[in-house]
Amino acid sequence: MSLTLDTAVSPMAAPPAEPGYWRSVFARLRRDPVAMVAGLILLAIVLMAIFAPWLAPQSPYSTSMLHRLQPIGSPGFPLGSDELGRDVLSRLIHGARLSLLIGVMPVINAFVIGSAIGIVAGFVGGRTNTVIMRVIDVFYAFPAVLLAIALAGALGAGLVNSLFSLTVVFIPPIARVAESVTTQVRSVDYIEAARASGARSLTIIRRHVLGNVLGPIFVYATSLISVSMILASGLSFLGLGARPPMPEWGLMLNTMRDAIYVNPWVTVLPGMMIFTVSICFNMLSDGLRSAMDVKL
Amino acid sequence: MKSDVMTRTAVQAPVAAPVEPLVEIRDLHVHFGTPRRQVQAVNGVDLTLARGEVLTILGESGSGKSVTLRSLMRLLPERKTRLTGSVRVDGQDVLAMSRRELSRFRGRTAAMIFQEPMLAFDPVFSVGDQIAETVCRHEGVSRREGLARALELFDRVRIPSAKRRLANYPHELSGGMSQRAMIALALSCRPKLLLADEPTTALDATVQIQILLLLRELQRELGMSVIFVTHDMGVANEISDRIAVMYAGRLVETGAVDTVIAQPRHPYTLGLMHSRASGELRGQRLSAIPGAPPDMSAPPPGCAFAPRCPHADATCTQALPGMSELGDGHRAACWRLGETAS
Amino acid sequence: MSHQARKEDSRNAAPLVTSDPRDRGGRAQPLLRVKGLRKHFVIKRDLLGRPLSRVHAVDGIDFEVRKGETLGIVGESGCGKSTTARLLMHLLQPDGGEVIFDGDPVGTRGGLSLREMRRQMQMVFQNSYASLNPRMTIEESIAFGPQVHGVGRREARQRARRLLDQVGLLPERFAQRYPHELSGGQRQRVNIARALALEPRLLILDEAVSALDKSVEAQVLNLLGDLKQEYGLTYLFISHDLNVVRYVSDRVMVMYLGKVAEVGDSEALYRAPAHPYTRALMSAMPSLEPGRRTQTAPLAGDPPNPIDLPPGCRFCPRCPLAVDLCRGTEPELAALPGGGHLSACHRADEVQSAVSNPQPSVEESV
Repeated sequence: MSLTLDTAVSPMAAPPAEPGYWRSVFARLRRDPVAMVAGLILLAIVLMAIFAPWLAPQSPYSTSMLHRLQPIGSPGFPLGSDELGRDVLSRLIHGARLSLLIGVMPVINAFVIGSAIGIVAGFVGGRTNTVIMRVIDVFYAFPAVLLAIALAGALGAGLVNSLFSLTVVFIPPIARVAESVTTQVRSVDYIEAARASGARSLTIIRRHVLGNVLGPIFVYATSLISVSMILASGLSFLGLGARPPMPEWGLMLNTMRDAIYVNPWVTVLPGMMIFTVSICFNMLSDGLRSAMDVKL
Repeated sequence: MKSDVMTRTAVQAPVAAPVEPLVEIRDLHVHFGTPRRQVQAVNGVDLTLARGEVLTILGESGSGKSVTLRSLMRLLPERKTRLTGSVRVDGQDVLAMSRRELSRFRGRTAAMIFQEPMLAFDPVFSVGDQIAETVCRHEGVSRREGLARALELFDRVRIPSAKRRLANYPHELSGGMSQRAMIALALSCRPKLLLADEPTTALDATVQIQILLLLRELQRELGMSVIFVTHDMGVANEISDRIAVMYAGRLVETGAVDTVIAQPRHPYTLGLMHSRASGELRGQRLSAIPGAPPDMSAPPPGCAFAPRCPHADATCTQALPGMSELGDGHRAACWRLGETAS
Repeated sequence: MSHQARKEDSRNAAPLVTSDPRDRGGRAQPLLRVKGLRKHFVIKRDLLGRPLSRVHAVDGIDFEVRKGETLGIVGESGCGKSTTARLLMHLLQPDGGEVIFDGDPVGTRGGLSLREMRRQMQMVFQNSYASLNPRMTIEESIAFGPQVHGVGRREARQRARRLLDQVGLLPERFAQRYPHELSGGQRQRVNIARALALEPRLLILDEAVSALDKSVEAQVLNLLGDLKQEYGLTYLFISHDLNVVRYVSDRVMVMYLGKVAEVGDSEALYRAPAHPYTRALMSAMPSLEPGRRTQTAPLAGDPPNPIDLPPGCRFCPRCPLAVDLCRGTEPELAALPGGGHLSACHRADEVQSAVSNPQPSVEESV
């Protein structure tokens, strides 16, 4: 009896090829209505940000003292004007660029740095892990808002500085998630098998750990984008982030704040944009997590 | 080698008396449907169990044995499952029961023990409390009486230092001990039918034999009927009166366990017996059954075992064989039984 | 290089191993020799971090594996067989003892380096699914080992495809699949192929067939037998299934609570065990004789945890033949007359002769 005969090579043996992992994740994501709606809205806003100069009816910087604080629907100012007579609609559209940037960049940076720290700590384990993670914990112990304010205040106001301080704020939570996921993956049999083949740690991390670990960390990181936007807007609101006359949504909230009794609806608009974008990022990351969570 | 065996006194399958069988399954079909896959897990099973009888359903993974067992208590996920056929236990139609009736049925009429004893218990309560709670809910007695019954049960399942063990949490019990505790939980309301889903598969050999002997003894004392699911023929021989072999969602051979093990007639049962590793065969190849079980999302039209069967012919792949009587309650579903008569 | 049909010849004859260029010392030298191997896990420490109680998972074991043989290791939970496998592969650091591979001590200066050892000794794990990276294709998983040791990518993949063919999985169909698309038996074949990719001389099979269905198990056992002959391999077969071990092994070693209870020739051990624990294990197997059933369990209670062990023989608390000597002094693993059969029991010869007597005697019942 030949070897191949009594083994599983009957026509039924090889099951129909299933799509790769990521393709099946996206297929599941497409079937999630909430995530899809959120994704579309975000896409619209991103496009709006990209094509801002062409979409905005007026320049976001041109002031007009004659037309201060016009209500919504005024001629020439579809969404009203702010305290310096600038068109709010144009400022919202241009503001999307800054606000999205300020929301996403810190998270991307923190993702790279935090994952590296967490994965190394998780893989090496032992004392090194303890030392690294306890240092991280010190930063984690500060409430995010306070830490951001403290750092931004120390560095001085400005967009770049607030980007930096937000990055630092997000490194600890991402590092913690990275460490915990890596620790779980580290003790699985296929890692032991790789060690048994004689592979060195770096090779194992590169080929076996990363592929299995980056996914969950990524999903966690996307849930931080909304937090980042709100924090960034908060910093701008406090005068620690973007500086006038930049059309950043948080800053707009700050400068129009005095006019809330005069023109409440216009004042609220930047807040609504922040709210919408944050919620959409949240829904998308939730959907992504569910899509990735299915047992293969 | 075995120093303590006795020839078993012949226990015939009960004669078809006016007494109604405890369990009657007719033409059971179980279909699982998810958007991704449709699986026909059980494909027409007929089974009866008399009162006080022990039946083993023997099969490998994917044969449908666990699904059949769970359908007796409707423990399958409601939304994904479609059950057709008739399942009657103690005269009641299980498939037609309301939630309330089902709740009363589970525990009082039928109870189940599982492979992982640790999973049957809630980790945050002591085992004694959980057994007492079951008793209280089903029989409406006070908590003190419930605990007394739990103690009695622990003694019965031979847990040493029973009183102390009642206060233990599930994770504090060893494998064999927690399996005994699970048996105690299952027996707490004196069910007429005990369902056992591979309860000894995860246990060490010396513990497994203790649990099997315990189950045998309890069954004799309480006169329960038992349906035992396993993939191990030795276990089937130790514990049951009758055996039903399942393959690809159907029964292929049934009969008294002595008969089926001594003279299997279905090619699959024969294949299983002959592919077993044993010391006598050292140095030779095992006569393994070639190939693999069929994909249950598309069950083949004829006999499911045909692609792997050494005796298969054209009829086998086209038409489904019915059960043929071989005498004395021994039945097999095969077109080529002439080839397997010894 | 597709596999040729095999004849039904007896496979008892040990294959020629002297043709392997890496062989040193010839047939007479054992391929693996283990002396005093020890591993303790600390479970409780006091406030200063000093160990308070330990699990003596492996507590000083000695054995050897001869070239071309299959040594079976049996035992129940807590006996230390899986820990032993991991210690041999250096996936765990031993706390004591030495491992000598074909005359070279492993891991010490001047001996075999760990890296070199891993080219000669490989392992197949029990959990076929967890042993494979779910994000890598089968071919990549198998090719990984050789690539680590410097084999070029293309050649590694070719080797992977050849091995897939050898283990009975058509490369065209299976090379690009992912682990979750395969059945348990197919995955285990992949694991075997993966272990063989490094061309080892010794293969440790840690409960490699335990999780498989019986019919699939038979296929994989046949495969293992074929591969052993083809490549002149030596096997260390760890299992809790006594029937399979008896079928597969030339010699068998029984472990209990971190120590070797008995070791000897397969048939001799099964027919006339010389240790009460081995005897109990044999009786605990469910009977497959129709009409004959076990009436008494050979042992009561669960296998204990190897923590805080009593002085004297570890099996004392459960042993039907225990006497004062057993409680006081731990028995040595000593050879019985006839050679080759060792047992760690003060009353070994009594145990052995009692069982060869076919009449069951009263004092044997537990």
